[in-house]
Amino acid sequence: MVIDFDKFDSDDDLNCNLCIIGAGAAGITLAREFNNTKINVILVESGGIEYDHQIQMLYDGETYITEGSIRRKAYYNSLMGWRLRFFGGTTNHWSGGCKPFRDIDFEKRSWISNSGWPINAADLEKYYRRAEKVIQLSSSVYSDELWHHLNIAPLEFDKDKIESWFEQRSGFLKEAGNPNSWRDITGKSIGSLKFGKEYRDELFDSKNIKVLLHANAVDLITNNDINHVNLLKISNLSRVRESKIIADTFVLCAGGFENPRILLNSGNRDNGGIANNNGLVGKYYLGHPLAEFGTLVTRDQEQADKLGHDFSMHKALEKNLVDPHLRFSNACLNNNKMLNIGIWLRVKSDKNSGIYSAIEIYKQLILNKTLPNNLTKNMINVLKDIDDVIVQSFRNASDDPSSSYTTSRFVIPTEQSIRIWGIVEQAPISDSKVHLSTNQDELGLNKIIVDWKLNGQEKQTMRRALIILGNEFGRLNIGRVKIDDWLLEDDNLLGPLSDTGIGSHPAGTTRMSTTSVSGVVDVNCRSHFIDNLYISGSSIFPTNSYVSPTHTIVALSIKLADHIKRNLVHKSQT
Amino acid sequence: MSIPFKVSRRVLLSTIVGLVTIGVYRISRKATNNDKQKILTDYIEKNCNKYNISRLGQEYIRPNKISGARKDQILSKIFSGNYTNVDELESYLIDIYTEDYSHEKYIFLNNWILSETEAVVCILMLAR
Repeated sequence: MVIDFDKFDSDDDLNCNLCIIGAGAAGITLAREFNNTKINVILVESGGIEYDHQIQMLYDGETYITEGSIRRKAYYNSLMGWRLRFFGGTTNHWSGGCKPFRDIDFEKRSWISNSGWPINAADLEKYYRRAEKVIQLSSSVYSDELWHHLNIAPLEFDKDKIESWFEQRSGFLKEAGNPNSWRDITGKSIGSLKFGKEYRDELFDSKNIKVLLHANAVDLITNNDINHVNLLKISNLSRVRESKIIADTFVLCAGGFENPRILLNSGNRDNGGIANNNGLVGKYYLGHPLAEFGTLVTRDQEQADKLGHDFSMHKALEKNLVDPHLRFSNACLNNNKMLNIGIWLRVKSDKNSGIYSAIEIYKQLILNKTLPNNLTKNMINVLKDIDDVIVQSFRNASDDPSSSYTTSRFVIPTEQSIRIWGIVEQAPISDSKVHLSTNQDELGLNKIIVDWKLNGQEKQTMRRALIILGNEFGRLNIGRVKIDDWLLEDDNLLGPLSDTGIGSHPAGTTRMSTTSVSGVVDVNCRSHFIDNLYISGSSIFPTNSYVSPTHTIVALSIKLADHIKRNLVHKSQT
Repeated sequence: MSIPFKVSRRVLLSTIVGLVTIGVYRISRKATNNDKQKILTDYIEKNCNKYNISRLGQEYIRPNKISGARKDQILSKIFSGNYTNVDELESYLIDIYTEDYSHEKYIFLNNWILSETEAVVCILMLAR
């Protein structure tokens, strides 16, 4: 059933076996695992079923980037822009990219400090398969085997170095009208599977699950020893309605920033909140540095056309689009001491298009507050393409949250060179962190400050990746690679990474570890210090691969559900 | 200084081939090999845009990045080819590049990742 807490008319406490905080990918997946069981569940969601800007404002905070010795405010408020705070969470505008992490992502790697999960890929294998059903993928194939399905001859890279791989895009064909490729839906609403929309009826109609909308978690109240959560205090946005949820088990599923924020705001804030005995909550924050960082000029037009076609999205499987990209073999990552990195090849954006020029003007005038370079030329380009600019601007200014992802997708295939684009795993360091500000939101909760830092391995990895790639493209006589200037500069200078890496796929802030010395939750996602408090979502990732996190988030939630089921059954028997 | 995009896009690879060709042309003149000279002349006429070579050459040529010994080694390899016509020359050069790239014998020239052999030919152009 569903309860709108704004209209909730009872002073009674709410009771359940399992209280899940947050209805995004993690929370909805977890709740569904308990549907039609004897376990009573309350799923607490801050938002309603539609976007509400006032509620979204609860996400507001500050973001800082450190380059060398300089700490500066981030240009883009990623805390507001990347996430969504309503039923379904950020799946309301995610890109749909799905792929399991691989063996090496879980391993302790000697060249990456603080790497290594207490579980391995085999432990998650069966949960990845179950997750594929939740995110509605039609296949478990992500390897270069898919080229054969596409009737495309794959590039013959040295497999000891580079291999082509695929992401599946969840939900695209269902939402976007069966397009044949990514380009057919460029500029339209992202068609990824929206968990809130997809699973709303199932959860709202459930007999043992109560979905509580417009209810914000404001304080987890523990016993005196701070090793057991007794109840959760909730409030609606106006603070007119407040209540308590009493449960056997509590699970935080509020995302990479909100999970640590709730912990830090609970109990005694001045003393670091709860579940934070070793001061690790919020530390080791991981973003996903991503950027264009090189150009491939092909030996002829035919090669450019082929690569442009082969490395765009394809309809390959029954329900999904697949997105080909390149990755590096385990041996190559080992030998070169690289972080994990994925490479995408994209036809070059047309720098003379109105959209591109409008974005350039916006970035410099609004974000940097400087007089734009080439203002006249850019203005002419904008006027030339004014119809397209208006349509796209309207789309992005509207409250349709699903459109907010489209600004980065203005790819207009006119230039016959290929831009090389990559996402790199971030090396976990404790100085990269989420902590509380003294500023408070409407609910009286302290906002967060994100301090994002990289240790230089990310740029080194991108550079090394491009050299390997350049040599392979040369060997195959496909073309020559040019590295972007910024990548050859000092490793402390982030270049375009500083605009994109912070806020994207936030992870690591309540990391999983064998002992409490190096993390916040154990192998079962339970707090090291609080016996009935669990955490799910990307905040528990000790390292974050280059892969989009949702598939792993869903797999971990299913694994956690199995554990909680066993635990609650055991408790009821004893 | 970066290369104007249109120039690099349109002519980069053909220019590299051109540079190679002219370099080998000079080498072959020194070697007084008339047959090779004819092949290379044909190759230049077929592939090279002299204006673009000159322009890109200014950007790409970075002497002293490869040691003298290594340069001599590469030159002798170019000379040792058994090419008797333009196509064979091209094929022979591509084989050398492939071998270079296979063993990561590359060099940065103005941010481009080029095989050492390509780079040596660029250096030859400087002396022209």
